[in-house]
Amino acid sequence: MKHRRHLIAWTLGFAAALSATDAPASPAPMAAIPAGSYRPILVTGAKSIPVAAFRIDRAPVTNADFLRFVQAHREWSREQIAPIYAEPGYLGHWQSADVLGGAPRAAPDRPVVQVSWFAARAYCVANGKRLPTEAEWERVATARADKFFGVRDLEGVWEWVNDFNNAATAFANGSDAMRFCGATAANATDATDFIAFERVALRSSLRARFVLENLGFRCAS
Amino acid sequence: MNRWLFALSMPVTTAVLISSLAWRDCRTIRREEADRNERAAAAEAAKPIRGKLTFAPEVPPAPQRTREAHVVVDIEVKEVTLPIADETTYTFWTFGGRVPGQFIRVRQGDTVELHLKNAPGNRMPHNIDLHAVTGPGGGAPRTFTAPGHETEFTFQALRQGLYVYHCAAAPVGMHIANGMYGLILVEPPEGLPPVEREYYVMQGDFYTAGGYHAAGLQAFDVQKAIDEKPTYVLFNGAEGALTGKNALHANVGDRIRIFVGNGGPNMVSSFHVIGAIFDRVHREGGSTVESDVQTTLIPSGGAAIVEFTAKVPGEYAMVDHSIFRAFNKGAVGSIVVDGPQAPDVYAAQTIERPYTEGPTAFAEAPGEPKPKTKEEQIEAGAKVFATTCAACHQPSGRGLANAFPPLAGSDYLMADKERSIGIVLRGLKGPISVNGAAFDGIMPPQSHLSDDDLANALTFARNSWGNKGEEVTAEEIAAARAGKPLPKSNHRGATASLH
Amino acid sequence: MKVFLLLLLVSLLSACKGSNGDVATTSTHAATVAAPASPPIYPLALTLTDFDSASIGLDVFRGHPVVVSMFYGSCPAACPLIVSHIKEIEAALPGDVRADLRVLLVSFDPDRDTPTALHALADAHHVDVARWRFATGSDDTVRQLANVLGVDYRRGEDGIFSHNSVISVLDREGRVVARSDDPSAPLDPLIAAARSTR
Repeated sequence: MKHRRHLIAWTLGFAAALSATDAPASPAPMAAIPAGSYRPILVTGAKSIPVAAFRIDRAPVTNADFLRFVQAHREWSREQIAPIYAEPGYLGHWQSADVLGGAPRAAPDRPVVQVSWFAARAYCVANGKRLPTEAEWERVATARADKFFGVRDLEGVWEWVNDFNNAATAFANGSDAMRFCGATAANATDATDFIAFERVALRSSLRARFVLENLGFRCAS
Repeated sequence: MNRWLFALSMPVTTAVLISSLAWRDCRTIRREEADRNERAAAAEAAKPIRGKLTFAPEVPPAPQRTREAHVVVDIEVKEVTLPIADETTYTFWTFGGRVPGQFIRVRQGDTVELHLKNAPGNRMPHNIDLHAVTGPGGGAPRTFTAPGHETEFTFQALRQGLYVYHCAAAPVGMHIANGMYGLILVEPPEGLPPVEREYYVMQGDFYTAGGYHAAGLQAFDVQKAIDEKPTYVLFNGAEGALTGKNALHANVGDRIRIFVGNGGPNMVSSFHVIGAIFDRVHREGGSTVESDVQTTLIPSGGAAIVEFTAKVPGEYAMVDHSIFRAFNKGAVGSIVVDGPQAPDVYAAQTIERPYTEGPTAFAEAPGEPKPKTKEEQIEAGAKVFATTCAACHQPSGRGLANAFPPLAGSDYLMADKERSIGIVLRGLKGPISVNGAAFDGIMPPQSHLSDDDLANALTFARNSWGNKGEEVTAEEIAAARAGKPLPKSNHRGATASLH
Repeated sequence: MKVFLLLLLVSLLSACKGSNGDVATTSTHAATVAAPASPPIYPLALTLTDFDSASIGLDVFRGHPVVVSMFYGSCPAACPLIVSHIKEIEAALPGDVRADLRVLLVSFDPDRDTPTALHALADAHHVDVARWRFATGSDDTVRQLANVLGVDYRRGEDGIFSHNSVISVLDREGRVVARSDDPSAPLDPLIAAARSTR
């Protein structure tokens, strides 16, 4: 009797320990980011944006991860994907629709690139997650999450965010302000943070179908 | 007969009536033909032509056209790591793969269809703002392009001039600082007058984390850019881009035209060619032409067309005359001119001779030299002696045995005044005996000294170290110099004029 | 006299000869070419809720040419402009083409643009509800639709959306055959596309 109680207690303890280490339903380990705020590089109003607590993948989605996904969801393979969802260069760095091949950028543990927003979103949804919002991504990037939360590779490839097509970034590309309803002058909060500028500029140049050699993603929840 | 005539007249009249309706006389037909030919020529001219682009310092040939055209221009943006100095590299963002971007050459009135391609391996989106464009953003909003994509827009080149183009994607300063600029020339309808040489030079300022000539790959330093403290100020994107084996060339007699741009991002250029005067400057690349200009200001984001004729062979340095940029930041290029000398314009021979303190040989006091008293002459002569004669004859007047004869107590000197005047003017060679000692050297002529100086020096020597003798006057020197017999000694009045 | 008349006839017939035929004038640039049609958007298979609270698919109007745009009901300026532009397009079409045309306006503000609110808007704008449909969907749904149509939008802290104004014309299979993102540009390309959609 005593042994059984010990066993139960031990098992419960072990299970608790396991869940505390974030053993996820999906393969990628995630970091828990507490609620906080971030300062966007271009502001139209408040200089500090609150961001609710969320979780984010510690690393970008890899070629190996994405290969598993397209094998399980054939409609997202290179051969079958609907043209509306991606440009012709989709997964072009792989040797074929089902084989990664030997190109350096196609290595299994490298971030997957040449994926469109639709494909990235579909991957995250299939894994019970979603794409991070721009606010979440920027919070992680500007809070030095690599140092504090163990989030990696924030300055490697560019990464999709769910709302990359938010009009506040329109000014980054010199669009006519007149063509945007509700547009107000956007001021830069830190003129020296050109890396943040670059992210904003890159996002504002994208369309959801686009695939880029340098653009991958990670998921959030 | 009448019946026949009547019968014939009907169809004839009908024929005349019908054909008069369709009548087109020669003039109308010829005019219609000319109209058709004109339309055909216009259609032919309206066929799109592919614009020829060149990399600096080359310039595309002038468009040999008498009418507007539809010109298609393809430009590819590439982010590339290239040398910026001998042991230093930098990741430039470029139009076409080099800094500055390719030179575009069109004609006023042309319709330009510009295709902007962003190479797939690039990390950044880019666009283009051409100062030759009339319209919002100069084309920038319409050409914002993600890596691996292409956009296009069309504009009409309304005004002639030399215009900068540059990337205007945010952060704009960084895109320009990384080298994203070039020039587009819109020729006047009649074209620029032909010249023998045309070159493309573009200045830019660069901001690196490391200092000047720090080795290795250097990163962009945004704080230095904001503070406007460049590490490098360069022509055509790299130190040495226009020097040494990369120097520009011309022959004597060539009319040289340089299309000079300034991409900035920050510095204004004081453009000057050392040794040349610009015959003509299209100030700021526009229609105002100035003549005879030494140094022209080229604003950041501006340009100028400078023209000059190579007249004298040699190497001519192009500089930003904010001169520390030329010597300490790299803002220097070269034009090497070959051909025959032009000694009237520029004497090639260097004349060099010793110079010591004091008035030069040909410096003449204003007005007539005033006669000095003997005391004044001795005093003045002492100075001349000290600076000129004492080197050999020694300040003591004792000379150097076997080398330079003494003057102190010298029988040779005091015996013959005329002879010593001749010696200082014409020199002396050959054996002489002074105070019993033999000398056989060379005394060089001192004819470069003025009459006054020679007179004073001799007067000093003849009245120093125990010597006592008559003074020598400037007139005596002058007469001897001219080869005339010496005048009688001038007896001065008791009152000599004072200087 | 006969000779004279004969001479007259001859001179008429041998009238001044120009060059034979017209010089072929090659057509240079075509008139503004409509952009090559995009892939059909209907595979997106989104589900929207319309102003009658009915659940509709994105392809609710498949088989008809469709004018589609995105907006939000509390929009102070641009969105009434979108509605008026679409009415202008309709007015420029011949009656039979107009009868065949459908209009789908999707709001990216599902919180405030409930079916009731959407219905009120449709009434306020006096649209022909037989052919016009206002609808909305979840945040995820409208974000996907916006991405397919090239609509950029962002909800500001004050509930005012920053967004561009995009009007697209779809053919019967849901391909975008014309698109304008410039509210001040002439509507002719959109009208022409609506008129000529097969």
